[in-house]
Amino acid sequence: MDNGGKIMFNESLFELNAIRKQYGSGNTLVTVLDKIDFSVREGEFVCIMGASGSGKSTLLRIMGGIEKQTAGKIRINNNWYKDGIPPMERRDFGYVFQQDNLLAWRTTEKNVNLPLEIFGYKGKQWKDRIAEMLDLVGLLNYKECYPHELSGGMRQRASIARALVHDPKALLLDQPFGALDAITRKELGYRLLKIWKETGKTVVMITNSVDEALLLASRIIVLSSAPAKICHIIENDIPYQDRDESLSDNFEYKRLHEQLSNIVRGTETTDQPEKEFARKLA
Amino acid sequence: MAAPLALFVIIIAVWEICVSAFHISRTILPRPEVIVRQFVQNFARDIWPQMQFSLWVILTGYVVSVVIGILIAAVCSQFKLVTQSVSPLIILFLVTPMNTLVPIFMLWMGFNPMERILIVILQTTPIIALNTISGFSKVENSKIELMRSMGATRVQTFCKLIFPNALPQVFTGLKLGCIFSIIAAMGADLEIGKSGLGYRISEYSSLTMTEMAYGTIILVALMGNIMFEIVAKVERKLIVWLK
Repeated sequence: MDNGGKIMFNESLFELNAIRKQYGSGNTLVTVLDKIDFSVREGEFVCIMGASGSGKSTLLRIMGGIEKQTAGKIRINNNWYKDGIPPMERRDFGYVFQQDNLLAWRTTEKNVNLPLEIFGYKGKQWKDRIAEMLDLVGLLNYKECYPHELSGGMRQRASIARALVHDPKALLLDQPFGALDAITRKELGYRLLKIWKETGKTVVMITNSVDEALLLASRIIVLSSAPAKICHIIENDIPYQDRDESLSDNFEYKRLHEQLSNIVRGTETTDQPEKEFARKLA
Repeated sequence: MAAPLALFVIIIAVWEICVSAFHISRTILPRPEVIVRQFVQNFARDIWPQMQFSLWVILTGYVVSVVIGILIAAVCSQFKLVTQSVSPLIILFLVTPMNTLVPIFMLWMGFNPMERILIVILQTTPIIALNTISGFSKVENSKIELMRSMGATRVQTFCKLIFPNALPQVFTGLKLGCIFSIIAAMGADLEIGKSGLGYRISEYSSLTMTEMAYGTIILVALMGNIMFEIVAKVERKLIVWLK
């Protein structure tokens, strides 16, 4: 995976083509997503940013099979789907929601076990994975606790463990740290980076934090406001070995930070939704 | 445990004092001491057989109501149309005083003991069903989406999410059901007569055996309390996750 710190990726894991999402009909028709085209390469870490209400969540939900697209098609595992992602394919994803979505009546261990039950994955090697994932997120000592006995950060960590337990190809996270305090958020950011390096999973994450995006992502996609199109794609070339607590001193980081902040604040929006391009200052 | 017991003792004491002090006639409010004495004396011969009968009516009716009530709620939760059509009917049963329906049942079934069980079922099932339906419908959207993100089937979503999530509300219904089933059984006894604790109470009253009447009433109340406590105990064992 590493090549002097720069990550090389192989083929695309899944692809979105001309995705559109609309709600309502006739006079009340609202177009949330206009025409989204992009592909996610295996092993990369993509962050999606954009103004709030810009349809980021909707896009991720379509990718995760929670909602169906109004038009356009999605390719996973060499199959194109025009009417949403069917239930069987959803086992290739692990979804982490904004507010922790643990079942209150189950212990941490049983919560992480949920996907295995749904998918019917039986056998010792799967049972062992539960402990493995809990260890990965640092919750092995809390496996008998109920959600109300855990802090917000711990609950989100448990959600991440749950999203990984069935060994999905990709991890989809919808602003997973948004409801947490700044310190926990930073901690979990580093932890997620570590998890990504160790598991090599493909990750698509929605965030509203420029810091977070530059710490974690290899590629950042910015959506315009509704009807949303992709208005910017930024390659984050900061080598991963430089991404630690001293990151904010990094020259490239500061440059990208300013650029991305401006973009997100909307002062630098351009209108080139169909082309995919990399932006580098000369 | 100590607090209710202390209150109980205080009530008994005040009771004794009032009856003596105000010279209340035994036909209106007998003394607690006499109640206990007479009740214990007549228990084996007069009370115990009727108590067995009433217990059988109440418990059989309750258990059947629990099963039917939860089944109705489960079906309703899957089909919105069923809920809409069935709800008013359920409420109708809940609201109609059984005294008005009992004479009609007597025309059909005479003095068949099954009749009383039917009345208990008709009064208890609605309250259990309504509470369970309410529990089944109050699921957070985010949890439904969680299930959808994994492609869970309808059955899986019901068993792993909707049912456990509804347990607190289900138990509210179960506890209320205890109360309703006893009231229904006593009401049926009063109307139909011939057997049961409710019938005994009305008999004692008409014979001015007030002490026995009071004693039997207290017995029924105690039965209700114990039934309620048993359900509450099961609830505490099962529902460990709520603070």
